[in-house]
Amino acid sequence: MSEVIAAHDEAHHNSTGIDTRKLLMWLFLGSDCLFFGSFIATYLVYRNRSLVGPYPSEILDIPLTTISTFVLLMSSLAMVLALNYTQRDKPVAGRYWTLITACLGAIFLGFQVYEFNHFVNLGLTPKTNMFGTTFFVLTGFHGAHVTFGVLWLLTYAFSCLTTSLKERAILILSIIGFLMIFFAVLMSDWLHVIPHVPFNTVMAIGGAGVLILLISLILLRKTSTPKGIAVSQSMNLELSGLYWHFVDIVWIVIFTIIYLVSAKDVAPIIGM
Amino acid sequence: MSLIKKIKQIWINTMFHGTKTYFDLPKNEYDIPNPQHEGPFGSSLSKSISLFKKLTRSGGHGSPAFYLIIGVILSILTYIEFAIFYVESLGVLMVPILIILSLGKFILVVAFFMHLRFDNKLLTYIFFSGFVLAILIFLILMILQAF
Repeated sequence: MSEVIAAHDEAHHNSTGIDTRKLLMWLFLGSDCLFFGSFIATYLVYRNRSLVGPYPSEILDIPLTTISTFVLLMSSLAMVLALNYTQRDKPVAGRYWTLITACLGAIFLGFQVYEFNHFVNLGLTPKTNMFGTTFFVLTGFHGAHVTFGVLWLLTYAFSCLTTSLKERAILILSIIGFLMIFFAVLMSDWLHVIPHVPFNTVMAIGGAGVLILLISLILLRKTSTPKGIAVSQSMNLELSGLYWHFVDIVWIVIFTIIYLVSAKDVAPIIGM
Repeated sequence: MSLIKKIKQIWINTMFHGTKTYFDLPKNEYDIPNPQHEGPFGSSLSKSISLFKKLTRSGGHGSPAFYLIIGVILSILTYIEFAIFYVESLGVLMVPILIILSLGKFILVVAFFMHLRFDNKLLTYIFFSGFVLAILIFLILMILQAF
């Protein structure tokens, strides 16, 4: 088995000595820089050009976004720990940290869902003004990147960090448990993203989610994976990790430029 | 106890050449200190430089504790950005400070979390050629917008 994997890995090397997939991943990230760079530049070009409200100073919530930035930074830390433990042939710790990374990414997405919903309630849509258009396109594409990253990590955890059918079933159960908690929080009274759900229903869904998540996480503490398999598959995790960190650094730039620098923008002075 | 010993060792590394203190004037030629690998602050500076190199270079990858430290530094930088946002007296200085802080975070993540510091230099060139192109597009758009 290990010889097959070794032969499989060797096929990916080229004259530079770097794994071809990794080389291509970095090329993709370099081109993705152009993608996000254009959107950020577009945002700045149309900054202060909105003719009607709401303006950034009226609706951007800096403390909330700081928390979501912190969540995304910590998910990056969890990602690097996941890779580190997997490369040291500790698949269980690697699996837990991979799940924590995906979980923190989903929490970040929850923050974004809440924020978008809140903005739409306050009257800011992509059609309202230039700020709305550029803001939603930029953060929306970033959110799409995060969503794809979460799906990638979960797919990796499903295919490479679990081997038996039982473990995979438990992993799916833990994801279902997490999603139940996620939607229960979105349904709750103080977020109001999914409105008009009775309190008892929210508590039932959330409680069941917590129970399912805890039990499945406890069951995941042992693995039947033979030694060395996780290490041989760690390049897959490294690639998804590179993608994840890239999404994180894009958010670092977005947080600075869109939120901190332009959060005090008010209505432009007409006739300039 | 070991912490006190370490502090004492740092003090000795900073202040002493062998048994002589750093600020003692030599009385004869045997007193002239001729220590190897010493800088202006005794051996503490060169030792901390070699510690930094060992932490960031050797062995290919860092330990979990190393990444944890980077994570803590990133959180502190984020908090500083958040705190600076509410300092009204900074005025026009706020934007450059924020950009420098976020650039610091960017470099920390790219160098250590994405392993560019440990990896082949070719990957750094590939990524930063894309990054520099993005900055160029950004600047050109901003300049065109001015007309």
